[in-house]
Amino acid sequence: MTFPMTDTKLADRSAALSVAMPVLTVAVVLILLPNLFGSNAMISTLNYLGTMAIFALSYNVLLGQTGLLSLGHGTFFGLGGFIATHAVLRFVEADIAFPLALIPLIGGVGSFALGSVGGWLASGRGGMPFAMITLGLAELVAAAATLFPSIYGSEEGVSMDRMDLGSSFGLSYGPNVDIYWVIAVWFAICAGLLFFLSRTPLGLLQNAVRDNAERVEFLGFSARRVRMSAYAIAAGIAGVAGSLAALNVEITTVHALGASTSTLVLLMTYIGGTRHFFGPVLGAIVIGLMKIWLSDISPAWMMYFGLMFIFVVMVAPGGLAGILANGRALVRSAGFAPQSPILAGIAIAGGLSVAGLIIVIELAYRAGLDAAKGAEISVLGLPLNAESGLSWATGGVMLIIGVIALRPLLDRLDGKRHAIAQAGGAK
Amino acid sequence: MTDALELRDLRKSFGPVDIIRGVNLSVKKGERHALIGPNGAGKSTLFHLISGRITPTSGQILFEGQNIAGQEPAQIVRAGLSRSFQITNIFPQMTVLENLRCAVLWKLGHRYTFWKRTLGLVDVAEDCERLLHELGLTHRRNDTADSLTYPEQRALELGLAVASGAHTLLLDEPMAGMSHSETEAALRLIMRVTEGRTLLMVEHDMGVIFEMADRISVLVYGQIIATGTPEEIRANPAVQEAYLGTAKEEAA
Repeated sequence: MTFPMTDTKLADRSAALSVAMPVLTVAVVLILLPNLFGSNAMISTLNYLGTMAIFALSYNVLLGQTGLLSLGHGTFFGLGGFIATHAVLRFVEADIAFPLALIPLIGGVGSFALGSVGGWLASGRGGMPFAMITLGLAELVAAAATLFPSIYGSEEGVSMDRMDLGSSFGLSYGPNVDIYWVIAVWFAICAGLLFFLSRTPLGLLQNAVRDNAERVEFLGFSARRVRMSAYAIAAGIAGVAGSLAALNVEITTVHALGASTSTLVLLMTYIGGTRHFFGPVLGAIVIGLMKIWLSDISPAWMMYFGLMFIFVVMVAPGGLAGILANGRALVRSAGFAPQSPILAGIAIAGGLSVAGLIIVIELAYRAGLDAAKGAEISVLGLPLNAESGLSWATGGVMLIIGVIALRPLLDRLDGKRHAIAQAGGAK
Repeated sequence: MTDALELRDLRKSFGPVDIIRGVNLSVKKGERHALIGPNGAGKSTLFHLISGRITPTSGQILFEGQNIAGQEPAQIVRAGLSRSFQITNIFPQMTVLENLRCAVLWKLGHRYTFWKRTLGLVDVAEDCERLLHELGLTHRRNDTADSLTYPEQRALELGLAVASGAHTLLLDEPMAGMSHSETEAALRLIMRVTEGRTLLMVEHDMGVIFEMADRISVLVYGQIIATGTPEEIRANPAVQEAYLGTAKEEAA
């Protein structure tokens, strides 16, 4: 039996390579980012994206890895934030010089403990009962917030000054970039831990529970314990993310643990792609940027959010990461050249329909919600008017032409791929 | 010789309907015991009762002397009794190798380990390699389970039951839905991988049963009407009437 040994060693070596590359890339990107985007506003955006990336990675332990749809993951983000905030306040009060950069550890451990209790309640079954119980627990915590104003603060939340604990690790924590380094290191730690988890027996069993929870029981394991472990780990990492968010904005409100936070992380993770480890990070970045930038440009940003979610669910269940991976495989394949004219056609038709849709949506918002701003509006560089039939027709016609053109193009793509596959088979 | 498995007056009713009506059965250590009976006799229900998927209404299930009636499936597997399913019940989106890894983890004591990489576990790698070879799935090791052919999936189904290390196996129609030549191959595979273990299996193919079984029990309408060697069962008039007779009619 020498074969298995060499095989394991080979697998080890290729695994080591496939781990080393992403680790180096992540490290280089994390170090380069604040130097490329140095302005205070950009650093603050990066801090937000970093915390959301950790949060989305934690959620994917449930959604992608264990196949559990939690509707209340925001709870642990918010609780982590409150634990961190209160920890800072207590340390300052007691005059203990606890390093601020380690505060997320307290938030994470606290959330992990609370997540273990919640997980024990929620993990009896997967699927619908799990989703409903997590929703119930989230509502419970949100409702409890009004009962304990001393813990959750009232409407204005609980605030603290992150500089009160003094400097540590050579950082004063005054400038945003200091918090960036804290978030970057925690991101590396959390991503590393979760990546490692996905490679352990427990990670394997979580996948098994996702695929077929019943059979896991017939192999000697308790599916409940596997679900519980996923829930508690996800809660702990979400607590770290919530703590970092608290350090970043120096205030935590009940909104942090509300339904909107839970929905946001679900959207980020799903749109990013649940089957690739860094998919949720991609989702957090794209959705996070959309949230920050798009909300400045357009009142309809929530609408685009929803449309994007529906598009991913219906057309690309692998998410953005899946689209990228498929795209890369396609470009590298031999069949790419003959397909490329049709693909270009699809891109043009698709772009046309999206542009048309955006025009119609923007006109509708201007005519309805934002009527007070006047009828004149510029969309995608086009000067339009919400009261002009011509403007509406422009958007409508673009949308209709685009959609009508897509159908035969997609059929031709199918035919072409079929032909390529057959030619490949004939060889 | 002690019994690996003994059922004592086992009963199961769903509401007013009695499905298992006082089954008494003993499976000796190391024997290949076939359970036959017409459709709806309660064979699958009996397997679900023994493996813990459903709880008996009354009666005892003695596994190596211990009553396991009403225990959780996981407890029963850990005690050393595992099963395969009539409808393939594997991990479809995981690779063949990952499927087998899950199945050997408990036996090798790794359980819910989260501080070691799965790839670094030499005992897991070796055991899976041996299983892949035995099951004839070495060339499909890195393919997802749902991409396997039907006989390959059935082999993996059997493999999951065997991999758990249990010495007593319940196989629920391992050849269901296979062609004649596939059945031949599956039979050889089962004989090979279950060597030295106790086997209780439901099967419909009479050729297979008479070829491999040491003893046969006949379940009709929730009761065992006869137990014996293949020759005894073939000669038993009650069995001929209740079961083999209908089988002949079906064949004709």
